[in-house]
Amino acid sequence: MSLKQKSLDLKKRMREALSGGGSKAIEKQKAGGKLTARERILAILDAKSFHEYDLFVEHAAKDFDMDKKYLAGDGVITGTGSVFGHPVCIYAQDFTVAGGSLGYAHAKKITKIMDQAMKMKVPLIGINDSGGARIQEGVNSLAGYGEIFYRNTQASGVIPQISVILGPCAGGAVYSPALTDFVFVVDKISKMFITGPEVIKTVLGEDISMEALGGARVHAEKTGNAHFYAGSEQECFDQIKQLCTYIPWNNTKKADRFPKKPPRTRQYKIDDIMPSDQRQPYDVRDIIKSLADDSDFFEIQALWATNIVIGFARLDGQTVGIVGNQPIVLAGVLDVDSSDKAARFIRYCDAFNIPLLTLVDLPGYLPGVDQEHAGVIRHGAKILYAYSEATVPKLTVIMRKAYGGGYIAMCSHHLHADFVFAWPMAEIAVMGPEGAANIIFRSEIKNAEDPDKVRKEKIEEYKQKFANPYVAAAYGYVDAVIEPTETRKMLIHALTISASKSVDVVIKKHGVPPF
Amino acid sequence: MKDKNTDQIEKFDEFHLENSLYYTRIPDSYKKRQAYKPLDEKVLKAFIPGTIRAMKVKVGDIVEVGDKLMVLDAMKMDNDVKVLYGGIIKSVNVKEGEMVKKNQIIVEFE
Repeated sequence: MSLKQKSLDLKKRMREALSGGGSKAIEKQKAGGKLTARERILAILDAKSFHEYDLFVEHAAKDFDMDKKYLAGDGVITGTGSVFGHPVCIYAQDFTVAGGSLGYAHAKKITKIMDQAMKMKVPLIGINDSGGARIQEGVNSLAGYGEIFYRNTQASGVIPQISVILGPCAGGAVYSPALTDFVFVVDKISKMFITGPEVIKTVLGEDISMEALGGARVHAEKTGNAHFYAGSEQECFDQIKQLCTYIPWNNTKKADRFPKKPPRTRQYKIDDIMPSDQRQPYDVRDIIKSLADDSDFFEIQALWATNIVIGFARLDGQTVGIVGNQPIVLAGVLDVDSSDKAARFIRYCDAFNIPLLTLVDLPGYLPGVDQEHAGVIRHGAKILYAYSEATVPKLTVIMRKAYGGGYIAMCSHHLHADFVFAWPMAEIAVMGPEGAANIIFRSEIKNAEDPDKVRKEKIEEYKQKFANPYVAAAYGYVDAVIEPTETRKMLIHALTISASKSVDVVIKKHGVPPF
Repeated sequence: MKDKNTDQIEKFDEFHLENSLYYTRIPDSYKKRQAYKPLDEKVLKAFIPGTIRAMKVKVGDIVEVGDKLMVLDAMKMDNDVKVLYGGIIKSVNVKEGEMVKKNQIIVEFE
């Protein structure tokens, strides 16, 4: 063969491998409102940055006539590229090739690119669109999943891992995304479940559609499995790219610093946002926007456990991870789900050198048999663990109520916050004035001629004495009581002071958090 | 609070917590949460859906904890279901071969 012929041969081989599952399968994929695997990669990465590897990998399965089947790229595309100029490793399952089913070679391609990501310390983006295990390959498919899970776990806290669910992701396959940092879902396209509607129907006799069982909305709102929800694939890709601007490329680096921008205080003014009546709620996201550069807040898990708000913003160009109680939903109480949501985010920020800002306004933990029986002790403990464990700069602003266990949990000085600021309307106390007065002055109220009158007086007395930030400030539990309008300035200064923060970490293999 | 789209004042739900009143939004999931019900020892329900392969008790039987109650085919297994609390069987609500749903009443005690 001449050189030219060899070159033509390569081109022919590439054409064949790049054709995926063929025009019919691609047409079907498009009819479902879905892009092809390669189009998805190109849409996420910087233009012309994608370089593909292992295009010629083939499976070696023999059983069930598999030896007669050619599967282009074995149903997955892997490679490297960049997002906003930063290198990333990426893979995308190709549903047009044998339903994106995972066989041994398919899994090998994925684990190879994962190993590469770990070696080069760059983020890994995985696009899931697969019918599940390739049944013909039997236990080798299971081996493939297991090897992926192992690597997901090893990479956790070292490189950012992003999972994008753009099709079915069922059975064991769901556990790879579950082990990664961020899961993106798209309305009507993403479907995740351990056992599908058919199995549920046969075993349990319960009828449910795929969408109702494990659609995007379900995971964004109900289960908390998804972190970002989008209406279309394009919107999803934009979210991924936006996320990439806030996070560092690996755990030895800090997030990129951006040019600083003032908040849009005409639109978001703390004095206008905070209601004068202490019992009335406000949207804590407006407070965040009043503090953040350009009033830009990138919310995570915006639809699940909405009584707590988490996400990224920038202060003076620097990324901070924000955790805020949300008074507009359930008065901002902590419960099973909101504790889970906050705790995992805190651990993410800590692993990736992102300073934490905690905005406090909560009446405490949510009472109720359902909460107790759902394990609020175990789940609530996660938030204590996560804050105590975190060694990144920890800044806390107590805006209004900080009662009881909720006060301790929300990054108090006692969990070794670095700076705790309180606004003048803050109430830091063991419980709300009404509850406290009823207990402390029980007999006085009971024995009074007019118990209601005495109760009111005692509540007022308690409020005067204790419903303020000054008792805590007198003990040094609050570093400074500040005007709300000073907050941004104080936070930026605190970040500057904390820039070289170092804490001696107790040497251990790892802790045993209340998972 | 003003809704930016409609410029209307939102009316918040009242939420009582430790004698204090808060105005806030109460999500449906919270409103619809099930009140706690203590275990009713007078009825025995199917803990999982399945098919009754054999019924080992009949009306009037005096049963004790641990006695065989039925064989339930569920999750690809024949499960020997035993009596959880003793008493006199008042009624048997299912027949052999019948498919039962989760929480369907199998047996009632006097």
